[in-house]
Amino acid sequence: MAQGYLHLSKKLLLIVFTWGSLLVLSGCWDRVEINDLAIVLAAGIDKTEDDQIELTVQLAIPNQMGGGQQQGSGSGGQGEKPTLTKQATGTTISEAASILQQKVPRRIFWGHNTVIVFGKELAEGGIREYVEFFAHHPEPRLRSFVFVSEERASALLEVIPYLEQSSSQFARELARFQIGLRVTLKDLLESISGGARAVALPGLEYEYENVKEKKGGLNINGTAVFKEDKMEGYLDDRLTRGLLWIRNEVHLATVSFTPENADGYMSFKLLRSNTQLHPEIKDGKWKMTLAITTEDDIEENQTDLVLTDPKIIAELEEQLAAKIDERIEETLSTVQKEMKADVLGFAKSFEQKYPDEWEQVKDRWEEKFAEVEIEVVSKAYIRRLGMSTQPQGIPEEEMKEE
Amino acid sequence: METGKISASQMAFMMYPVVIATGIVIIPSITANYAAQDMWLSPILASLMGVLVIFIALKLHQLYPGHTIIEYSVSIIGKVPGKLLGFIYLYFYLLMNAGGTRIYADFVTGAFFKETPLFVILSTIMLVSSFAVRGGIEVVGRSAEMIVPFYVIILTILCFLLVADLNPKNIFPILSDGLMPSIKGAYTPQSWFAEFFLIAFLLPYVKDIQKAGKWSMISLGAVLLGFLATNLSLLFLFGGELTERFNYPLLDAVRYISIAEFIQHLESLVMAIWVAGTFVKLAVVHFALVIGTAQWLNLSDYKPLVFPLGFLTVLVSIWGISSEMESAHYSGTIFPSFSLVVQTIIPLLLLVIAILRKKHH
Amino acid sequence: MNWLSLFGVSLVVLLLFFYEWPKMNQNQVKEKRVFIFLIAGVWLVAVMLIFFPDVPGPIDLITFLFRPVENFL
Repeated sequence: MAQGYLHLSKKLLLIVFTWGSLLVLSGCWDRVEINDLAIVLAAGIDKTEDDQIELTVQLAIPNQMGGGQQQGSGSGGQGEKPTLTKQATGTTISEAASILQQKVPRRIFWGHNTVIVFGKELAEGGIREYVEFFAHHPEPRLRSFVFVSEERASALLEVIPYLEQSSSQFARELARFQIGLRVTLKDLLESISGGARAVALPGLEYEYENVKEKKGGLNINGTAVFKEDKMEGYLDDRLTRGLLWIRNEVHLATVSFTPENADGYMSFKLLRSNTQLHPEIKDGKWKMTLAITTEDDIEENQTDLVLTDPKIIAELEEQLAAKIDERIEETLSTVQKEMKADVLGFAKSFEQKYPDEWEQVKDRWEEKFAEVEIEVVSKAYIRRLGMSTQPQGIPEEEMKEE
Repeated sequence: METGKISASQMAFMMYPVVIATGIVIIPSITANYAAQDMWLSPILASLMGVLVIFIALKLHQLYPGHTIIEYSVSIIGKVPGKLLGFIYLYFYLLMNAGGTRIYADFVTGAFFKETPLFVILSTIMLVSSFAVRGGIEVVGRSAEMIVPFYVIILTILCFLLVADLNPKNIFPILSDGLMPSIKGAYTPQSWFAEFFLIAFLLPYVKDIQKAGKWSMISLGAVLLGFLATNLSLLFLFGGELTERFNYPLLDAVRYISIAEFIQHLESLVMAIWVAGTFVKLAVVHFALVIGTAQWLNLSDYKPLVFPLGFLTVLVSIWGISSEMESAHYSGTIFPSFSLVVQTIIPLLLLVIAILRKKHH
Repeated sequence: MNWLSLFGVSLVVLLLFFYEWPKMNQNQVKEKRVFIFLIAGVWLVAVMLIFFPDVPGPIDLITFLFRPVENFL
């Protein structure tokens, strides 16, 4: 018995020793306490007049981050703002970062950076050199979202947003909705080095509600189209929607139109959509078929159509598909014919199916891309009516049934 | 000398990290460099080398049961050439372990502990492994048995967490440039698979020797699956082109994991399996080196050699290699040829000579 | 700094010696010789690497031998 006890106490001692050693073994030279870190939430990169770059970082202020909830609960902006922006200029990002470090008493830590914003001016001159840093440095993550800002990125990061704690978080949440494009650093690296030689990045802009306090909001607006790594043009919101359909990235979408033989609008809310690219090369002619299947709910009905009638629904489905076609065609004509920038994923698709033919055209893909014949085949399904079968607020006798 | 015994299954657990621990961090990038989107084929081709060396090691042990290669090379080709060959093996395993330690330390310092001096990382892991080896083969076997299941589970979980971000279409076009790129891509991994020849040092201590063949193959299959899973995950996530550009693509992939913005920042798990796996790997290889040295010198005990040779391994891993690039170049292009000669061609010749001699008698 | 490293290495080697020596069977002359030889050799190499860190090592030898194969590939 006594021996058993001894054994047990020995075991206990061993356990205490092993777990205790965990406390002291947590790092050597690279031990860093959290309150010695300046955590970067977002980085903005702009061009200066003398061709250097200006790096703007948004740093988290940990004390204020915790207090964010009280602030939100209506104490009326008494708390300090939870973030801080700092700038520095340099020839490279690391140089700017080390100059920045001189002004910040804590070690700049990139591990939590989730947003990278390029100013438009810089984007027009090429972004490749500046993307490199974020893939090279061991701390930043490839999941950071990348945006292009119409105005200077520094101004955008200074916005103190409503609802969210920081403009970085604001931008991240917007990206997650996928109303516009959502491009992570990984996606960017993939497309910038890929065969398409074109990149699309979401545009980001801000709007002040209170200029003095710099309070306001951000919104994702349109798409910046890059050739090689230089920004060439801009797609507005409408064209961006078409781009999303083609790239199979559309998640939230409402399509409204006036059905034939009816007055007023009907709105359809997208449930899910799937776009498939079917490349085909026949007798030297390159052709791409876009097969789009969408499923929608009816969200609003201003017309006098009675929706329980399957015939009406079938007609509506056809018109909805045609409407989506129309949007896509519009985007195609801009992107393919005017910009000649393959941000649609065609290059990869052809390369995967026809590697040999691709090999021959890859050096002049820009011209070839513009020549590719595109066919859009879309099919729409209306799945549900919502809560009203018949239009609301219209006298019975005015309703239309076929 | 060594009175401890291990079971065949323990041997399988020991061999798994020997191959995969350093393999999964540096192999994907190298295979992607040659084979691009066919990088998943390379491990399959390379695993044939594993089958071959396991066969050779088992056959040789069948002819000379209870002996390691250091002992039977003397029986096969005579005293002086046999001793010379034994020295080549010791030299090889010393360098192999030094290379492994260096890969480990370069990864740890490059990705996490940037300011910690290299020799601190090198000597701490070697010290721990040396203690395990000093405890005997049973200690090494049991630590492998304890650690490897966690290793496999964590690796599997990490691959599964990536599923949402994977794009299987990246696998196309399959074999667009023929088989040659994937064969070239298999050249480096073949040397990792050839490390299965290390069982030539373990077989004498296996209790249930009749099961050794089965368990070696199970271990080989598990290694192949591990390589396939990582290579495919990386290919589906990054594509061949991007994988090649990263130094440690697996780490980048794991850092990409983000489930509902909640399950993220998982690289500490990579670090955990990395340290644990390397510990077992170094211990197993170090055991082979130490027991081999003792047999080569006809000593009665191998334990006093453990720490001096561990120290030597650490020294060799920095001796003449001033940078990570040099070390990576050695491991990626020089070591495979060295391994091909020492772990495949020479054993094959030994086997042929041994069979011919036995027939003569 | 170099002298400090020298001191550190010597200390480690001494510790190693005093850890291992009492455990050895004092009748085994050969084992003791090999142990002394190894530990002295390791100490020499370490000291050499402290003062001449760029001396080519065993891995360089292999690199030299197998470089032709690499070029062939």
